[in-house]
Amino acid sequence: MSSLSLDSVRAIAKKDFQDAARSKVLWLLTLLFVAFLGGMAFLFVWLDDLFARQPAAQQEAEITAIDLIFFLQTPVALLIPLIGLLVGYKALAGEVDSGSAKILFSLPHSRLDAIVGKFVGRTLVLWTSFFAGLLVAVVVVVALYDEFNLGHILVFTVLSLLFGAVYVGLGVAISALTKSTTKAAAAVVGVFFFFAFVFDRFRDVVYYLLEGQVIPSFGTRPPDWYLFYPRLSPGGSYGAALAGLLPEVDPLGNLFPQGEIPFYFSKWVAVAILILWIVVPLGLGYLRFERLDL
Amino acid sequence: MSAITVDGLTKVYGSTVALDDLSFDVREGEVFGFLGPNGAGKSTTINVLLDFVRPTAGEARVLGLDAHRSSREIRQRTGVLPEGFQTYRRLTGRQHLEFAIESKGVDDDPDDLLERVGIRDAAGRKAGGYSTGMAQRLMLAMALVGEPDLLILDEPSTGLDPNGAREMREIVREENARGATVFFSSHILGQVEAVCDRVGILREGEMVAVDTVAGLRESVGGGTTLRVTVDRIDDGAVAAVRSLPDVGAVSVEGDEEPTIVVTCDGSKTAVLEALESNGLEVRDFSTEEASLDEVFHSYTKEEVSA
Repeated sequence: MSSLSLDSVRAIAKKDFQDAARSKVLWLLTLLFVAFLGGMAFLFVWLDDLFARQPAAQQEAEITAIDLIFFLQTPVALLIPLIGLLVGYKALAGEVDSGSAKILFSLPHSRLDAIVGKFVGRTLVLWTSFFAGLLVAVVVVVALYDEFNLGHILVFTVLSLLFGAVYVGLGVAISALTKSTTKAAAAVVGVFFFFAFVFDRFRDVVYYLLEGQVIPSFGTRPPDWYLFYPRLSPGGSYGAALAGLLPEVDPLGNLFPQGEIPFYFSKWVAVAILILWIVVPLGLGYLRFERLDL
Repeated sequence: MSAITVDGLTKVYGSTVALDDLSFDVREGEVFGFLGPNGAGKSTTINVLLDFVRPTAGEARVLGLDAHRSSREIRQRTGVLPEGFQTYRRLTGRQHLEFAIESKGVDDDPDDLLERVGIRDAAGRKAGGYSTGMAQRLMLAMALVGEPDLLILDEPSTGLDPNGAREMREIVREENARGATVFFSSHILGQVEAVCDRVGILREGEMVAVDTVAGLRESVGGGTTLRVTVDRIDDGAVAAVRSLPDVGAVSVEGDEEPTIVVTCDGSKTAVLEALESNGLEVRDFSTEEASLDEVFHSYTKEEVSA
């Protein structure tokens, strides 16, 4: 085990952020988030107006900022993993591959400092871009929309930043496992598709083995584990935490009509799972990186 | 006390033995030249000292500390110019220095250090645009941050022109005068001779000789070569010279100007007297030191030839 020095972490994170700030990547990301989040907010307001003019929809047109948040959630849940992994995957493999790691480790930094410093620096890169995009979205909402709840936006922001950190962490962890940038790139592509398309399907396989069918029949209440399983992935726990912390829309009540909700369906468990998705991959990456010959 | 102690160090990569039971000592305050052809294991040794790689067997201590367990403290007190590094191409020279200064927690002035290595003018430029020699100078400046107790320089003259190499040696001397121990590797001998107190020669992962430059010359046999131009060659005279103590190889060259070439450790006058007492007329003579190149080659070739 090597020790952690906060001074080292700060120096490495700062250097990494400076490096990124001078690359086109940061600016491209910022542009992407601004266009995406701002554009979505604008689209949302426009759609809202459109529906509001339909007489039948008049009564239900009480769309709130929460609706905007859930309007954004699905695309954000796809965009952030992509960008987080992209920002993270070169962190260590890139330095070892190119030889700049020899500069880094000529200075008094431990391998643990390097992993944490890189994670912090690159998470800040993602956060900066995301923040810029969100700011534009908020401006759009405030300018064109009557109702604006700062609390809701804050919950969305904090959870999205946490979710972003998870994917930067996964990228950094992967880059700690290999000296080759090419392998790291292949691995992050794999991780992206795994969580986007494969992870949830394991549930269907297990359910099929137990019950002889892929999805529960209509009208049957699925078992608790079946409902809980999707909340284990980073995206699932992000969605669950978001729903739990914006109580007006939490669908849990519908799933448990009898009222008794097991504790592991709580929003704080979802947040804890999100945090574990940061700590565990980085920890495993560190264990490997600590033993690596540079 | 020793600045560096390497004891029974072995490093195996797959089926390649990079270091084979290597042991040596670098004394505090000396300039130690670590010589050997490319691939002899110099960088592997340095990588173990810096904990970049972990040895298969054996132990290394730097500044009295275990190279693995106390690596952070070692690198805090050591300035390093690694081999095969690449700069952060988007960061400027000054930002590189700031990173080193911040990492070591000292308050040196980046521009002063860049001035010292002669690239003050390029301080605000991105290092990606530097030449190999400039990158090498930048890295040397980073190594000097915080007045380290030990400097470890791996092939410091890479990419430097003769003038740059001379400036590099000058800085090595200054740092040594300040009290720093300097350990540097090279496969070029000329750079070592002028600055090193002692030299170690590495071959195929083993240390084949450690000595002062003069000591190495002597050990290779006949530190000095004596060339005597005579009026004629006489077999009896040559035999008389050969029988003298302290005389190594004796050979005869030249038809126009017959010359007897003698390698000897001892008295040159004894050789001249032996020739004259055999009736030869000595017309001219010169002496030359065995070049360090010859010494080096004699150690790094498969067989040591004397």
